[in-house]
Amino acid sequence: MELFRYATSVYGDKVIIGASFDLLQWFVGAGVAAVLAHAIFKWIVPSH
Amino acid sequence: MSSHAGSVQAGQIQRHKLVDRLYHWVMAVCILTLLATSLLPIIGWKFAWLAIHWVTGLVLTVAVLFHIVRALFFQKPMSMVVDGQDLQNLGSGGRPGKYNLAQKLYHLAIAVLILSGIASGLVMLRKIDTPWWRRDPYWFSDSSWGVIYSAHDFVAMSLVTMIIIHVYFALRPDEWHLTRSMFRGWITPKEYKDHFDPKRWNAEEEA
Ligand code: HEM
Repeated sequence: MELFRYATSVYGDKVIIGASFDLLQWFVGAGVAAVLAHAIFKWIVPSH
Repeated sequence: MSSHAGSVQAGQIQRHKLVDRLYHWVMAVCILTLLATSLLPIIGWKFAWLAIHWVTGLVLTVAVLFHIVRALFFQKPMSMVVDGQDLQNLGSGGRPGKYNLAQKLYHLAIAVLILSGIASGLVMLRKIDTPWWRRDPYWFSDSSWGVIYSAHDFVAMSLVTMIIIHVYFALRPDEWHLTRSMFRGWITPKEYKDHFDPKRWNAEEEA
């Protein structure tokens, strides 16, 4: 999976044009994972 | 327990003044609009998003400037800065001041992200047509534009993670007093006593 999006410039070079939006699913996953981790922790150790 | 600050009455401890709650909700609407207008077309829902996006970006810019002035000169900015007591409380479980360590770290992260989104977004305005100027793609080299667009894109995707976490905490029943205070402005004296250290957050003095 690429971190960035690329295009070809008028000179034929590969230039970076932005971040790869394929990464979006990982950012959603990180949010969901953090929520689940906290919820499970609170469930196991309720008074903490 | 103040009775003179806005709609706060006896038996209520003011946590957020009306102007600060309005700022919070204006910012929330702006961020959600910016995310929806930019990311929905990427995941397949095509519409004319750009004008709504950059106009909302300008509204957010003005709102954030307002918040910075208000926080620095009319509020207690140090209440949002991590201090030694926050770190000591990690071990001892002591009560926090107005904001706990997690909230301070969250605020720091969201401030860095939003300020980066604003800075890169304002520069990107040069690359599109607006009522005030024609686009000038030669302002920067192609690769510099690429870095600026990448920064803007990573801010957008990181904000998705941050919002998922923020909404989860706002919906948790044990945080409900904080969520209520962002709608109605106040917490109860019992919530104040149970959750906060009055020496670190003097709500009387602040009201
Ligand atoms: C902080 C929340 C913001 C988010 C989540 C966000 C998100 C995005 C995303 C994902 C894109 C697509 C970029 C690309 O194609 O690589 C974009 C484009 C753009 N954004 Fe934002 N943005 C935000 C704030 C702003 C602000 C504050 C402004 C300006 C005032 C702004 C102005 C622009 C412009 C002009 C473009 C389009 C550039 C083009 O199509 O060439 N954005 N934004």
